[in-house]
Amino acid sequence: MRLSVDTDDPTPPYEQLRRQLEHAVRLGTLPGGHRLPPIRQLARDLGLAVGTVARAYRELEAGGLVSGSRGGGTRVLPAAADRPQDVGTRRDQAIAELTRRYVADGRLVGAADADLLNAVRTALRATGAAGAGPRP
Amino acid sequence: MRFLLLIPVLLVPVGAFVILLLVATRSSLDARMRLARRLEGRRGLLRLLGAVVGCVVGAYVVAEDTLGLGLLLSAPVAALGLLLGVLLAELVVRPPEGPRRSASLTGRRATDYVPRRLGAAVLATGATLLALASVTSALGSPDDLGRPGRWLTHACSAVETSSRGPWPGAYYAGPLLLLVGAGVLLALLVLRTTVARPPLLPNDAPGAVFVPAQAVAADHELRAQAARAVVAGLGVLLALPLAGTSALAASAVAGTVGCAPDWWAAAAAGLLVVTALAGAVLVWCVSVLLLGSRQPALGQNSALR
Repeated sequence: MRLSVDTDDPTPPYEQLRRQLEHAVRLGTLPGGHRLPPIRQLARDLGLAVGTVARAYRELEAGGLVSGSRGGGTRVLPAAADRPQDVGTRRDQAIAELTRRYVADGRLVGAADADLLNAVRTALRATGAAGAGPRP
Repeated sequence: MRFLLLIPVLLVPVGAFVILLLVATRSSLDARMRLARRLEGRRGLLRLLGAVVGCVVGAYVVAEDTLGLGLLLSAPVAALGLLLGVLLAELVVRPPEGPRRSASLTGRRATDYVPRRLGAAVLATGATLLALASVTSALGSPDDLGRPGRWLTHACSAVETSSRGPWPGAYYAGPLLLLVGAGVLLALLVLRTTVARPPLLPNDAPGAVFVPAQAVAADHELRAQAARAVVAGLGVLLALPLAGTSALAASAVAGTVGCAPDWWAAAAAGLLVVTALAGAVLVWCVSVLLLGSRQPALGQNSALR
């Protein structure tokens, strides 16, 4: 799984990170016990300040989704994911919302339905096969 | 002037590393690595520069040789140059600067990239060198000019002693262990830098937020390639001095057999076995540096997920 940040987006980068990580944890994409990358690694990979990533991690910790310990890194808490029966619904809702936004933005730049579908296929191919289930 | 005489000797290692660069460059032109080849070309030049500088300084150390010390230290010096080149190549990778960036949620560890069997062989070589150098330092005695640890002296009787040299005692082991320690620290620093550096991914491509799977695989392979070079460089740094130390010790021990207990002959044979094993590790490491090693199957490593 990959995180993405758009520095042109008015949403602060730490909030973009926090939101994506929260989704991944609640939907079980990041299972309980999964160790998040070290703050410095993520900051360097994304070209962000260490404090930006640290703030996102702190907010997740305050929200009871992850726990950090010195030397042990930051891990997803086992009870942080939604109940299994709710995960499917929540995932469907999240996908529907993201798709709705994508289609709306695509319409604004004059994309036809075929263009939007082709762009999705291209992006799927570029990111590689995801398989049937969530990836760590 | 003596240094000028070594120019023909220099040509051999320099030529070998030019071949290394050509091989490395060709493998980096693999389809999986094309996305990063421009930067990789620059990185390859830096690695070559480090190797050439290491060889030149190593040859200079040989030229300034005193009592075989320069010969013993030349390989570690050359390997230090190689490691510095790899370090510089890792440091030129800059963090992404475009507006859209992406990163993996998988933590990277050095163990994801270090070749296990070669790493274990190099670790065993280092431990053997440390143990052997400690023993030879403890057993050495001063030579006729008072230089510590250059002779192996054995008391044949109350009035008769037998001395044999050169012996790889403190005179040789001291500087060697200092250099080896510096090399190990440098290798750990290079490995840490290799793991920690930002990915080698194009950020200015349209839709760069969707990182192509090939670029992720290429980045993983480049880190693994650097880690292999580090481990193999460290192997050269350790194996050649171990081969020299054990061969020298075997020669000195065998030379005192007439006076010494019978088990010294067995010790000399054991030291020759160590020499042969160190030679095998050396050949392995040099072949990894020159030819590269088998690439991991893409998609099977955790770092690719």
